Amino acid sequence: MMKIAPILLCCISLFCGTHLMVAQKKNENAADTVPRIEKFGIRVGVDLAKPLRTLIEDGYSGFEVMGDFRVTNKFYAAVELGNEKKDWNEPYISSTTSGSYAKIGFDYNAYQNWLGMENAITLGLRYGFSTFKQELLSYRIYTDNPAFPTETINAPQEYSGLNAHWAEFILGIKTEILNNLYLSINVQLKRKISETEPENFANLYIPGFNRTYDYSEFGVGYGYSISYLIPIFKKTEVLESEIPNP
Amino acid sequence: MIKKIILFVLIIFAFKGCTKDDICPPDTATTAKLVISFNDIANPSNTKNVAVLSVITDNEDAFEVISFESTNEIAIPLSTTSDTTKYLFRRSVISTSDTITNIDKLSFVYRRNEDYVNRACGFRVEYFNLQADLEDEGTENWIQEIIVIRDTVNDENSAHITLLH
Repeated sequence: MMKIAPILLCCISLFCGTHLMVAQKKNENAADTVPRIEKFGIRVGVDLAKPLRTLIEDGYSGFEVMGDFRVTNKFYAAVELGNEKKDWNEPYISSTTSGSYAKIGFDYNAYQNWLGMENAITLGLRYGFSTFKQELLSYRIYTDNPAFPTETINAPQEYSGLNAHWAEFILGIKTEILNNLYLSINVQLKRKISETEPENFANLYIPGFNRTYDYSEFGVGYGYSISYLIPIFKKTEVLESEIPNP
Repeated sequence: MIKKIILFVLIIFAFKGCTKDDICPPDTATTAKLVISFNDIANPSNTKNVAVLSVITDNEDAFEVISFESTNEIAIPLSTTSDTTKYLFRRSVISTSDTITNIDKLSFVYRRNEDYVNRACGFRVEYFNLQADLEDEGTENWIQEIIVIRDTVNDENSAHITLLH
């Protein structure tokens, strides 16, 4: 239940966010001659969901900082850096993973703003990289026969120097809530490219990638963040379509 | 376009919630059982059924792991926590007048290796250097000879041990 709550929250805000954007779009046809001012700069932010999870979720701690830089009108170079520690408990295995990660890539803003607004629906790609260590805390031998019941074996083993690489598709919505201050939510679909696996064990959780699946290379994630745009320069442009006919 | 992508991502989230990762599938190769076949002492290459066979753990629990009316191949578990597993092999010959029960004691000695399976199944045990010893009861033994065919137990594809009787 603890795991579902943040995902649900994320979906709800995604849904509401979309409706807001759609409502705006209706007025987009109104032609005017006011030039569009586009702000360029570096946007820096922190993830809000991870510190919140650190507070309310047992066995999790993490944070993430991010930054992006507007390269062209539509494209942003983006980077995320984070650190996570996560306990993972299964009926037959319990382990803990901790480490840092970096994701670099770009965002494409697919949303045409209403004049004077700086919102965005972004489609992005990232290359993700994580270095971490994993500790196998306890385990059990699987058995389905009652003749020789098995017991949990508490023999902690640490596997350090592990790493993983993945590619990530990221879908996000950014809303300017105050001047230059943005609230954004995103969902992430990841695919593992490679990983170093501990000997006679597996990576159950990878910082930045989140939980792994035994039968799939894919992973999912979400983010909810607040960021501030440090404007460096402004570009004024007049779009052809917005100039009314004489 | 955007709405379609959002829908697609939401569908992925919905299905990621429950996967087969969460339970250990019954067809997973976990700790293998010891496969024993029964052959004829007069003609060791031929199988020979044991009339009424039950195999019981030789400890205070005396747990009956299998019981057959008539069989020539059985699979029994080995202990995952001890390097020796002791069993009682009880054969009952039932005739019209009475039942003759003969119990032979077998102990299996091996080395163990713990092997990671996956997150749902945890670990399994592989057994090496398998040896089987029959407690000698002179002429009272119904098992005449033990042949170890494969001394590594990590699958159940064919017999590891053949007992001649």
